[in-house]
Amino acid sequence: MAWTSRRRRSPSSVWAFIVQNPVLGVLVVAAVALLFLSRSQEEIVQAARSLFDDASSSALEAVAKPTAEGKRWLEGVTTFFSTYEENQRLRDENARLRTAQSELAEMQRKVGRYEQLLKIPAESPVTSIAGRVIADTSGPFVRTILVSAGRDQGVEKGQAVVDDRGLLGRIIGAGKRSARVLLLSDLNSRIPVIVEGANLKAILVGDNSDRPTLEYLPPGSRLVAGARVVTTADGAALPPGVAIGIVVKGEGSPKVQLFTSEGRADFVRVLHYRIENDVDEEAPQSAPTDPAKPRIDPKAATPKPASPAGNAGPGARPATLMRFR
Amino acid sequence: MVEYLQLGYVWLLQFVWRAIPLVATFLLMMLAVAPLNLLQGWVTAPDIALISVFFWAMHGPAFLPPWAVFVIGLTEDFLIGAPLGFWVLLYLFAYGFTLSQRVFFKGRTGIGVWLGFAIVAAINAALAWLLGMLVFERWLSPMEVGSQALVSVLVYPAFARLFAIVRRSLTNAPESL
Repeated sequence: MAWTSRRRRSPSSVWAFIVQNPVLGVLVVAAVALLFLSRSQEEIVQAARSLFDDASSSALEAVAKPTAEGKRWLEGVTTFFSTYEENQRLRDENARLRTAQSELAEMQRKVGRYEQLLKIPAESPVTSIAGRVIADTSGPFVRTILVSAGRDQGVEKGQAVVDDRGLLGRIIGAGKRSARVLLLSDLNSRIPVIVEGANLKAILVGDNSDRPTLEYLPPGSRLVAGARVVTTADGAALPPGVAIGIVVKGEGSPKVQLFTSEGRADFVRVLHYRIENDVDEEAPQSAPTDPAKPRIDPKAATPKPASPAGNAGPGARPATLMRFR
Repeated sequence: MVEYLQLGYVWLLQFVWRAIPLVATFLLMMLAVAPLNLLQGWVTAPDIALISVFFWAMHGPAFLPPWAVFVIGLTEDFLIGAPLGFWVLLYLFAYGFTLSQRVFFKGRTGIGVWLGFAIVAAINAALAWLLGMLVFERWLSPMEVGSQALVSVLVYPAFARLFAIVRRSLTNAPESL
């Protein structure tokens, strides 16, 4: 029992322990300094984060790929016995979707025609970049995911990230090959949204749960439970009409049950959408003299209507398509 | 000259040897953030880094010195996108607390160490909750950290066994190193 002689006696006070372990004390001070630094020097910290994400992305991807394969294999085994029922269900769904598709095409033709008649300017096309989720780092207090697409692929800070169910969140930092997505449920997430039906604008505020809160609603507004919540183009940050969730009753403020409840996305799409806000050098020539009179300016409207879905090219999808879920 | 090279080689080997616990922890941390989505994300992933910090503070602090705990904390902060220094501070505290109480925890056999981890995890969760509210400047639900601590305590024996294999491969020196 030679090791008992080396056994250190339990220190009687915290101070004695710190004196015995000076390195630990110095490191604690360094950690506190780091905590203050990360709050004051956000740009440097963000650059460091992007560097770390890039450096770790290949290792994370190497881990994520086999786990995704394993998951798929496991799902294959579990669904093996229900293949017949699944096949029947998909047949029915396919029949329903075919009907819906023809209705959609008819609606799009109609909307295109109305837009042409009303001379509505063409909406900015939304293009997308696909990426794999390589890390689901949703710990306590912070809810983010890491995707395998970065600046090299055209990902920029502020872009919306969706999967097949709807909006997941937005990019908060883009490295060369990877980007970090702040999920809608994160404490720091603020997204301008619109409640369909009632046409009410609000801000969707993340609160660390699967049900973010709707805030800054107009006073006295009444919502219907189950109403769909989608993004708006306010702030020119997100493409309009991306599905987010449905309104549910909450304690106090109304809440939104997200379509993309935590962490089930494998592949995501980063949406590229940009509207340039412009300032004219001079006042328009044909400005009406009487401000009370409604202004109709035939030149202001774009003569070309929004192109229908089929002509938009492989990557480009009109924002209206996003609405269809 | 040859002697110096030999010395350097030995030093390098020792360095690699000593870094094995740190590397094992990094690997497990990466596995923990892999998009597995077991149980559809209903259960929080365990705090692998805390398990590692506690295990090495108990069974061989020489293999995980304070600077390594600092590096683990910083990696966790970068990995999950927390404010830098947040988990560094918490893990350093857990490490120091475990070191100061290891004689007490060691006194009990087997289940005593597990109980020790439960105490450390509970204190760590409470501190994380308080520090979180201080850093984010708003009320936070204690459920998140609480459930993570609970999951960590439940899976501790499995990971401790894994780390014990690593430790046995490093040395067969007696328990308290």
